[in-house]
Amino acid sequence: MGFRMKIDGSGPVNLSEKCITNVEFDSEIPKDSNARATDNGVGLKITGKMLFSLGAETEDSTLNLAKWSLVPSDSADCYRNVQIDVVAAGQIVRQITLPNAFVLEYEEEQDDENGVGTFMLHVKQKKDLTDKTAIEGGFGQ
Amino acid sequence: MSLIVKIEGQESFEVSKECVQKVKYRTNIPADSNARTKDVGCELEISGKILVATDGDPFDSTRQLALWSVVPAENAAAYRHVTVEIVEAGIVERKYDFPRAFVIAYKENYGNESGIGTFHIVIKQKKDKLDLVSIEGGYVGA
Repeated sequence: MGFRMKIDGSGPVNLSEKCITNVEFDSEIPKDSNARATDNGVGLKITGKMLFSLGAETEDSTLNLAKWSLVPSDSADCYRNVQIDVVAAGQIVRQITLPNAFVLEYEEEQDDENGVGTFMLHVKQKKDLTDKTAIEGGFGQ
Repeated sequence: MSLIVKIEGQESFEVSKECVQKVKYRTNIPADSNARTKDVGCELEISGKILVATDGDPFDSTRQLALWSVVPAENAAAYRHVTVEIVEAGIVERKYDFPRAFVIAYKENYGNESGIGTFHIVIKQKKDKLDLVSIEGGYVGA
């Protein structure tokens, strides 16, 4: 099973199955509701490796993730389109698109044992636009 | 992989490469926000070994970190310029540059088993100076 992530905007990010290790989709619903609540949102948590390119031949797009997490809220650029493809056996199992996503958490970690660093990105769809989220699946590549 | 931590300011020093074991960068955003907030900060977490100089070398760079963590707030030396470089195979994979950083947590730990102590420091960019933070990478460097 592999994952592909595509983020548009001023710093485009294209990460492939070589890099992403885990994807978590979460429908955030209040835990204390007695009936179906309107206060629900959607979030995506992506973890992966920070692969560097030997000789700096290709651009490391995880750098654009770090830069996105610092974009101030008055810039239109802080909302971006995030698309995740979950691919298995030549099929797209899930294609999740958050068209107006913003960064909620971003973390990078490097140590002297692993050789490559890891990143964790948590994005969320702007809450009033939750209905714009697309969850598709079951089609060929 | 080598992790280079440099601290510049009233007393400049470099934490030696042999000491630093782990670097963590984090963007702090309130977890309950419904849309992009203005309340953004960022921090660096550095941990490593406290190595003893056996050849009479008087300068222990990790001691300078401990001294920085006790500088009072009214002293200008509380804010310093921190740069962290992560170098892999001749490539600077990341360069974090925090020009107005202060210490938010510092801990040293010693036990009778490992023979060396460990340190753990968390530094944060002054929150109103977040736009001065730069994150670069992906270029050839030493």
